[in-house]
Amino acid sequence: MTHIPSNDEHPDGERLLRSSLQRALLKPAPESIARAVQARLAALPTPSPWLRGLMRYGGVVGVTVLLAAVIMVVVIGEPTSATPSVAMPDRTFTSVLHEIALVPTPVSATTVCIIVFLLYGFLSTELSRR
Amino acid sequence: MQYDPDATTLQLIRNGMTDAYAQIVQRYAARALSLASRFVRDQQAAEDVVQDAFVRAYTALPSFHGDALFSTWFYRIVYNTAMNAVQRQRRQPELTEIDEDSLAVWTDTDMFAQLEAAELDGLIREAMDAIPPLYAVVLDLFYVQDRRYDEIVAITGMPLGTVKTRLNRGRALLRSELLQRCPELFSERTS
Repeated sequence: MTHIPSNDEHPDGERLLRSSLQRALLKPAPESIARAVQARLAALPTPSPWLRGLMRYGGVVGVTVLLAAVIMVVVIGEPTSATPSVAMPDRTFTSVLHEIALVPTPVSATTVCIIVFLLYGFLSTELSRR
Repeated sequence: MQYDPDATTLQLIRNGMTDAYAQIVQRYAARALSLASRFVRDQQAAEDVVQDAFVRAYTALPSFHGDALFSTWFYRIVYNTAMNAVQRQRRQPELTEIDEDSLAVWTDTDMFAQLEAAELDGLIREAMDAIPPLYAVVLDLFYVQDRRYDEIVAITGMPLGTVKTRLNRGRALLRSELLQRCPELFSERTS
């Protein structure tokens, strides 16, 4: 069988092949591509500054919200009963929320924390998709 | 870590100077078009692939952390976008079996010298269009885009052995296609 030398034995041939392929295949791209890309980028929805901030610092905001909720529970205290009386002398975290009408019925502080955190997770996920 | 020649431009874009992306488009449009054309033969469809790739790269830029060169990352986007376009057209890349004896192939310098540059350019373009995409894309990445083996692995997701095999087979196919179009080169060389 005839020996066919490989390109490793012929670096000149390899260089020539490279330059020939580049010359043949690398043609200036039509200007229409740059214009079309520019137009498509301009049409992309631009998030508002506050949304960009939330997307950028979302993790920090989320952890802060969680920590604040935990601290409030620790400082103000968990209610002893799931249905505290309005007349109950000790103000609790959830009774405060109930008083300022943030929650319709008194609920456990832990539940409030979970709901707040889930709500934040849902919102940040939805917003980051935009 | 390897110096990325696009790092400065990318930093400008990250700092809010989004117009700097035009430099990236200017820099890579021709190369991306060459790569896309290996998959999508129709010129307009190849241009659409390139446009899509640039838009996708722009929107995905926050996820680019400089682990690889920007060009490698971008070529991977072009490659995937072109693959998706091919799949949408239900045209799977063809696999052509070739004679194993012809795997080791060299490039005869005389063969190129005998042809006028313009004629050769046309022949090469025709020959590259005739080669199945799986081989043509590796040839393009290696010779036209000047990518190293490891970069081609990162771009295509093919194992290193496959890249080397396809490069060799691609060379063999290119040679075969060129000789089909210009048989006198072969007869002159072997005589």
